[in-house]
Parts: sequence; C-alpha cells; structure tokens
Amino acid sequence: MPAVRKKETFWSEPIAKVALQRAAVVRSGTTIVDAVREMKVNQIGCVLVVDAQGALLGILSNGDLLHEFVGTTLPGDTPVDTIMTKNPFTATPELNVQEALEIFHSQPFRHLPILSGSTIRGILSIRGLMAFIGEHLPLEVLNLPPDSSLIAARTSGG
Amino acid sequence: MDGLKEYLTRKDFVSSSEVRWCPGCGDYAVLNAVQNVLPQLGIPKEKYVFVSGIGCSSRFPYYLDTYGFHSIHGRAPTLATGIKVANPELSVWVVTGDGDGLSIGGNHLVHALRRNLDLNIILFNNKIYGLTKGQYSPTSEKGQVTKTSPYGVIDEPINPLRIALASEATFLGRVVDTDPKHIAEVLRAGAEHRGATFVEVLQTCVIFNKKGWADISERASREDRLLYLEQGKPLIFGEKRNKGIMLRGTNPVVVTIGEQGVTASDLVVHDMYREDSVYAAMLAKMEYPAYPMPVGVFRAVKKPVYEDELEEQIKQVTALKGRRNLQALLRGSEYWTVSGNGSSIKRSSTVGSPEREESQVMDEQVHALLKSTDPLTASLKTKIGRIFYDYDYKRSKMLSPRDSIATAIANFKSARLECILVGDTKRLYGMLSERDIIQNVVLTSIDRDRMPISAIMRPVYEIMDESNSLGDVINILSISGHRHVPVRLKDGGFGLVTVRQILSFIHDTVQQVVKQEEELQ
Repeated sequence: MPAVRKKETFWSEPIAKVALQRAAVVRSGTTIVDAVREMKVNQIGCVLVVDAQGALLGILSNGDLLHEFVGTTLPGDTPVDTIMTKNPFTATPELNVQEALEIFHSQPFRHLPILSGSTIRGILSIRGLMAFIGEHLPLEVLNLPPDSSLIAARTSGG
Repeated sequence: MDGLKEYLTRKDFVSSSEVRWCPGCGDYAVLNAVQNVLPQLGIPKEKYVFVSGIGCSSRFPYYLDTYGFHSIHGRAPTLATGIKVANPELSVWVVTGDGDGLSIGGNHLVHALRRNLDLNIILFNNKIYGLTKGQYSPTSEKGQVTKTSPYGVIDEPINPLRIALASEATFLGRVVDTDPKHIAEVLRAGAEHRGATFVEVLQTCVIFNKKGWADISERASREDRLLYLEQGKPLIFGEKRNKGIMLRGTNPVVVTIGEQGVTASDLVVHDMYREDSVYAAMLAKMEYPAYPMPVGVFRAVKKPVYEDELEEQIKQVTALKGRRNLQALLRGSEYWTVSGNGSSIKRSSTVGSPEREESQVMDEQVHALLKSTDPLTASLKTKIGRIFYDYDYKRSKMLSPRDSIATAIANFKSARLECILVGDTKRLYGMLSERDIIQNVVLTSIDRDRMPISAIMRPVYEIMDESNSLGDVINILSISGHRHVPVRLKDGGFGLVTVRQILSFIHDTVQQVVKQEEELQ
C-alpha cells in the first residue's frame, strides 16, 4: 500500500519561524561609507537607517548603492538619508510564508524588515524564504543525490 | 571430612605447564593474584574459563589449571561472548594485552564491553609488543623509542580506561604489577560485579620496556605518585597523606592539606557508584606527572546483563512461537543441492522467495515516496532548463575577466542586473554580484578604469545543467548561501538561475493549484 504524502502545511507558518537574518542598523546621518562597512561586517546586502529613538526611517541596499551612488558625483561622506529608500515596506512576525512569497513575487526588493511595533526583529531575505521552503521538503530537495538523474530506480544492498 | 565443606586452594589453580615468561615479568604478579582470588569466589573449578588472544599475556590460560582457550589474535572477547551466552553459569575471564586488545582486537573489545556481558577482562598494558620482540603498541608513549620507532613514536597513545568508558563498561579498575595485594582486591571486586569488568594492569616488560612504568610503580616513590581510590573517602595521596585532589571549576587540581586554607573536607570524595561517566572519565584522564596516577575501582554501576536479557527474550519468543527446527531454518525457503562431483546443481524453493518479496516492497515504498501527490513537491522535479526560459527572457550578461570594473558597473546600471557572469562561451571564470562591486568600490580606492574584473570576481564552484531539477538548484543555493547559480546551456554559453526565478515558479505553481481547487469546488 503506497504511502500518500500529506499536503504541505508550512504555507500558513508565521515567518517568525523562518531564520531571520540579523539586521545591520545605522543612525540617520551616518555616512554612506560607514553604512557599507556595517553591511560588510554583518554580511548582509542591506542596512536599516533609524532615528535617535530607534524608529525605522529607511533602508539602503546594494542595488540602491550601485544605482544611486557608484558613478555619481556624491562624496563618500554623504549621509545615507540622501539615497536610502524612505518608509520601506515592512512586515510583522505574524506574516505567513505564503504571504511572504506573494510579497517577494510582486515587489522588486530582496530584503524585508520584520518589525514588532517599532522594534526591529530582523530581515527576511528572499534566499532565507527559499531555504525555509526547501528545509520543509527534505525528500524532494535536501536528501537526494547531487543530481536528480542519479536517484536510484531500485533499492539495492541488503 | 564429613560435614565440612572442602575449600579450593590456590594450589588447585596452578598448572604443571612450564612458564615461558621472562623472569621479572609483571605478568607473574597478575597470575599470582588471580590464583589467589579464584578459590575465594566460591565457584567450582570446572566453571572457570580463561580466554586469551595472542601475546605474552595471552599465554595466561596455560598457567592456570582451569578450562581455557589460547585463541585468535584480538578475538578473545568474541570467543568469550559466545562461551558466556551459551553457558551463562560459567565464570568467563578474558586475558589480553595493549596490542591484542586495543589494536588487533580493539573493535571486539568495544563490543564485548558495550553489551555488558558478565565477563572479567584483564588488559595487561606494558606499552610495547613484547612477544614479537619490541615493536611500539597503541599505548606506547609519544617519543618512545622502540624497534619500529627508532626516532620516537609520533602516534598519540590510547588510554585503555577511556576506551572502556566510552564503550560503557560497567566496572572499571586499574592496578600496578608491583602491588599484588591491591591487584587481588580489585580483581575480586571485579569478579563479584555482575556485568562487564575491565581492569587495566600497568605492567612492566623487563626486556623491551623496562622503564615503562618505573616512575609510578617503584616501591620507593609509589605513595607520592599513585592515588589509591577508596569508596566514600576523599582523594588523598602522598607519603605523608597530606596531598589531595580538589575541583576548581571543572578541573581537578592537586592541593596540599593545610596550605592556603585547604582541609580534607575540600577534597573530592570518591564515588564509584556514580551513574554518569563524567567523574570516572576525569579520573581516567589524570596521568602522572601532572597528577598522581589513580588506581583502584573507578566505576561500578548496575546495568542489565546481556546474557540475562537474551535468555529472557528466547523464553518469551519460544512461549509465543514454540521451539523451531534448525534444519528448516538452514534450508530456508530456497536452497541448492550440489552433487558429489559438482556436475549438477539443483535449486529448491518453497512458495515464493521472501528475499525478493522484500526488495519489491522496498522498491514500491521508494517509488511511493518519490511520487509525490502534492502538486508543489511534484513540480520541484521540473528541469531548470524550462524555468530558465520561462522566467528569464534576457540572456545573462557575460563579460571577459579582462574587462574593467568600470565596464562592469556600466553594465549593472544600464541593464539593472543583479549578477554578471565572467568568462567566455567555453569557460566560466567567475561571477560578479552587486555586493562584490559595492564592497570593493566603496570601501577601497581601486582604479576602476584599469583594474580588471578578475581582481574582484568570486570564483564559481558550482555549475548546474539545464537537465538539473529545480530541487537540485534549491539544494545547491541553500548550501552555498548565494542567490544565483550559473547554468551551462544546451546550445552553448552560460545562464543564471536566481532565487527570484525559483520563488516566482513556486508562486505560480501554488496559484495554479489554488485555482484548480477552486474550480473543483
């Protein structure tokens, strides 16, 4: 009697269960060079900009830097506020996996700040979401030969 | 004499065989101690069996007037296991050495111990192969010069007690060959323990490793260098009985009673009945000269004994299924008859072949697992070639490794790219992401017009094929931590699969499923 797999239920899981990346955070007025350094230290592709009270003002990504800063006449000590994306798209930890998929599908960004009230919980990245989906499907994704053409058609050994 | 029980004596266990050990060998001390202990255990002489492997110490059974096997190198624990399982009423002893027990038979020793058969295992550790005339053994010390290590041993030595502890031995002891009374005490305690007993004897080979244990075993310095473990008593040692072992954090430290306010009540109290093995492991790791060498009973814990459990299992299964026929088992459902001269081979088979049936069942199970009924998981088998063409109309941009960083920046900006491939139609050298550009251009002062891309690109360790599945790509990206993976295209050249493409595909698949479900309702 072949076993029938149950329908996947992880779609309704809150993204709080996804391993969020720790956010790189700088204060408003920080220079662009210092913000990039912060991104490098945290090994993340974006940095959040906050005011003196810690409230989120904007986000700056590698993409923003490439298009708004590199090749322009702006000096490196320009405040991040000049080129950051103001009032960025954010979500709460209650957002579920399917909703997150919808957001990344329809929006151009790759990093989504997750906030509880005004507290920054972390960053949901497009890659983190993919990895989360993959982890729920060990049979189809993770625990297979490196090339799916090598999956054995018959069991062997004894 | 009537009414009086006749006692066995030491003499009853002395054999008439000529003893071939070198005069002065530490093995004699153990033999004498064993011959002293055996009559005290109240076990009839014919119930003793001594099993050994190969080596000087393995000649032991010849010198005892009991049953015994001088068996195969390293295999004494396996023979002993068989003897004990078939005859649980016997008192079974294993005599082995550092080479026989820890090198040639290391594996067998581990399994005899972990099964916790009621065996008494004595391991003679002289840190050398004596019988074969002086090669270094698994317990030889670093730097020890032997015939096979003329410039000093470079192997890390094995600690026998730590191996026994890792194998879950329920009784652990250690003795030195210069203290026969103590050997007898520990062996007796081990013999009375129900379960696997392991006793290491620090024994001197007078010919090939005369100084092996001299530092700790010589009578003159023994009190200062050995720590005699006594149940319920503090860890005290020294000729003046004024030194001890205290715990500082999780480390044992040597202290002197009366100095720096240390009193006997600060010392660790020996408890061989501790269930967990942490304390015994700490003692086993204490070695001279950093610490006094502990001797005595390290551990004695109760656990179910293998032969008892086996007997119980046989009893239960027999009650359920009755006694079975050995001939029927041997013939099984399929067997061959070979004629006397080998000219004919006849295969006989009863109904079906269980072996084949089982493999068929396994195949069916595997197929059922792989044949997912969930549309999303089924879609993960889609070839990435399809995703690549459905979700990326633009060919991925490729630049030469000699192109300048300025050229790469211009391409990133004009086409709003996330990643650029570096190579030519035949070979891929690397990849360049926005991050590589930003971190190099913003944080360093490189000359972007003259510096080639090759200086900052990231090497490519993984190239997929169009025939790989979406699941393969998710797997690779999950491991690599990247957002892009290059794909070798069927018609030549290279493309990129991105996380965004994958999520778009998953998104569209899910939407289709939802739509179909709605239509069905």
